[in-house]
Amino acid sequence: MKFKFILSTTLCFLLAFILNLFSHHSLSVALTNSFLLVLSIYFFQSFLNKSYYLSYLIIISFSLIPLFNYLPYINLISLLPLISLSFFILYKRWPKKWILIFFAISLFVGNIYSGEIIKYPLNLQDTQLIFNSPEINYHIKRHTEDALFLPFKMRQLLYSKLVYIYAAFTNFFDFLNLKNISDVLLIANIYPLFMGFSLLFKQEKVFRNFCLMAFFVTLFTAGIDRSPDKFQSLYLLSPIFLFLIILGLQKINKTFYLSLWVLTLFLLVNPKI
Amino acid sequence: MKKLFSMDFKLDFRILIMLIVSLTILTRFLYLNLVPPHLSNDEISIAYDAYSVSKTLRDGHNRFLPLSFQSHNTYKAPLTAYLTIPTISIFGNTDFAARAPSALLGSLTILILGLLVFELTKNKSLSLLSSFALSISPIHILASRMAYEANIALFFFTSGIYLFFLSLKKNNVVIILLTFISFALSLYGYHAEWVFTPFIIGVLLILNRKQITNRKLYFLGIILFLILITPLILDSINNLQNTTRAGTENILKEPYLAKKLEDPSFLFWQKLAFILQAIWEKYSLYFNLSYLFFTGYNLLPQGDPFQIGVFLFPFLPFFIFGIIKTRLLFKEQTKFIYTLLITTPITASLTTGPQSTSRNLITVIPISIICSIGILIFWRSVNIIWKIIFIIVLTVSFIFFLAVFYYHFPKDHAEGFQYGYKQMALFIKPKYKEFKQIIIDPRFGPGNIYSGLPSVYIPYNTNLDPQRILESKSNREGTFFDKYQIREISWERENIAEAILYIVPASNIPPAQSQLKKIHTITLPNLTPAFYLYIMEINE
Repeated sequence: MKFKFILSTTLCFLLAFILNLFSHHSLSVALTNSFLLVLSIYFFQSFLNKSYYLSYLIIISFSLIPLFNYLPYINLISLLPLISLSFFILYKRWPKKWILIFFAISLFVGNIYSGEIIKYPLNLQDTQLIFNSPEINYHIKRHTEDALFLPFKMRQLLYSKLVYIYAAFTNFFDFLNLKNISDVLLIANIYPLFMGFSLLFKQEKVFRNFCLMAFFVTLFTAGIDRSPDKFQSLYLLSPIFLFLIILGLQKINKTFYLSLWVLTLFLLVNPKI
Repeated sequence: MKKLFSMDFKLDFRILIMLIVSLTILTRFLYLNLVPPHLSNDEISIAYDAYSVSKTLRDGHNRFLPLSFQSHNTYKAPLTAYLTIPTISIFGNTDFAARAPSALLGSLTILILGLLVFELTKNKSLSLLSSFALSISPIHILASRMAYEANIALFFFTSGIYLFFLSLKKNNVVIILLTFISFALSLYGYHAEWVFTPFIIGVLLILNRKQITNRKLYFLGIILFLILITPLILDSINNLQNTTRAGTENILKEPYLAKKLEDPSFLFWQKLAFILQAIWEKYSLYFNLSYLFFTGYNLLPQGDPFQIGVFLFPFLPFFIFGIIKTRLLFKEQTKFIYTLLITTPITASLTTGPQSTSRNLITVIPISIICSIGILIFWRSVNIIWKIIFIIVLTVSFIFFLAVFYYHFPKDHAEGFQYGYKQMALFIKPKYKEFKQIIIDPRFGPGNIYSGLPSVYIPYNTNLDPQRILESKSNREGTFFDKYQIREISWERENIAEAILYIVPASNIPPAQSQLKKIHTITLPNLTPAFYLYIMEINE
């Protein structure tokens, strides 16, 4: 079993490396992405129930996940998912609150760099932020003047800048749709991802805390971004996604999963609409 | 106070039931004729056809008791129009009469959903919460306040599912037959059910095959279902070129897809991949959490951040939590709930255009159920402070929705509902005899880009004999019936004469020297003038 695991992980590394190299010709990013993938597989397999082993075909299929074939706008960003993984392993070993807080801060900073809210080295793109949108401000003013059925003070409270929080949620959940998830993880992996998410609540508290923290921070950063990009915003979460997929794979209906892979491969080999 | 929040005391159920009933009545029937501000073009065509059939047994297009009603560029399923006949006979040609069947059946859907959830779980709290979730769903409130075919079909569809599960327990021939009658009626209700109802029947039969294999009555039910839908099938076969929406509104007609499909450089497999991608994109839009909980119903203009979702936003965490915990409460029927949730947007995903709430209305059923699972588990596991926070957030968001719905929505969207034609009719009705001719310019909207349907609104609201409409003449110039002329007015070419009423959009003002006198202005709810009414000024 160990030999098969090593062999399939090696194949996965090679395939991911070749795909990376072919798609964006960056050796360093190809190496970090492939390295991140196999490291994640190795650690997450060790986190799982000892009686469950990932099939070698499944391991190889991970190399096709587009999120692990992504080229960030500066190569340095490709190291950030490795930092996420390191925090995950660290927190699993020493479940201390400060590790989680450090992770949240690093993820936040990483996300705003990855999402180009701050451009390297320290150039804040405030037009990229959802706040102070002229359109939203216009509608706040419009409603405040228009809603005459309410006393002015109440209008000011109801139609206030608090709507930016609502707008951030709207923005984030609009961004986190099935199409975007399938674009970064492939259609077939959505199924184990959801299974993994539901199983997360039955796992050790450390997994739940870590994953939920990662999602909340990403939710926040993608929410405040006026036009979040699926790859940029979810790149740092790639190890977390892989963890959830691997977790979910334990409980899937294999026939259904296989048929989803047939569909995925069919769509992968054909041109995009 | 504790009793109120515990949900295990009889008093709670009474309070919850009272709350649901009052919310249902208030949100479905209060100001039914005023919000939405005007009958939409779909509603008026249903209302007019009902009126016409009630008087002549023929619809507005001179078809004898049709099974599909022509409406502008499309065809409508027949049930809504036929159900509107009794209300029009009782309440007259009013907006209330046109909307009453939908409001009534929409309210009953809330009851049926509660009964369905109780039948599946035997959990009173859950069934009441499901009804509650549906009763305050913005989309269901709006659907119930309009003569919405999808809402009528939803009632029969939900009833069919409820009766099916009831029949499994009772094994009663009447209930089994009612199940299939109800399913068949849903097909008469709305076109989306043509695909989805047979599919769900199949799912129900497969998932419960152990319980029904030895019960021949179900096969009788299926035969009854097939017999009942036969006229609909025959009608659609006979009118293939025009009646089936599937022909005009399927996803293959989506411009970006159609272009690719027509391109001969792509192979068959590649084209198939394009179709699958387009369907997946559409499906993803219908499952977009932002659409479902934040922006799904465009009650406000686009880009307005105060937009409302298909469900109120506080339901979102409970929806996610409910998906995970469904098995806990639904046990062996979990598969059915998941199937319902996953498959409801499929029909809508096979059609053209942006997200359509009417095509996807069925989705409110699984989402209400799943949100209520989340709420129930939350309610049982948190302390009173969290419960109070939840109630406050939900109440504030609901009140905010009411403010948007009853105040901002009519002001912002009146024009989209062709506001003004009913007001026109109400002006004309008492003065009808004073005019020898009434000429209405059907254009409206910014730059007069839209063309309205005064030819339907005016006869309905003035109780004009439908026979006059059957005798109407249409040509390139316009539509002509009774003393009405519905055509564009160009003042340079117009022969102004006495006793002719001219009705024009506010942007088509006659020249100053035209001897016309403005006798009335129809303003939109936001006080912008929409139409002006002119007659010739007589110099004494």
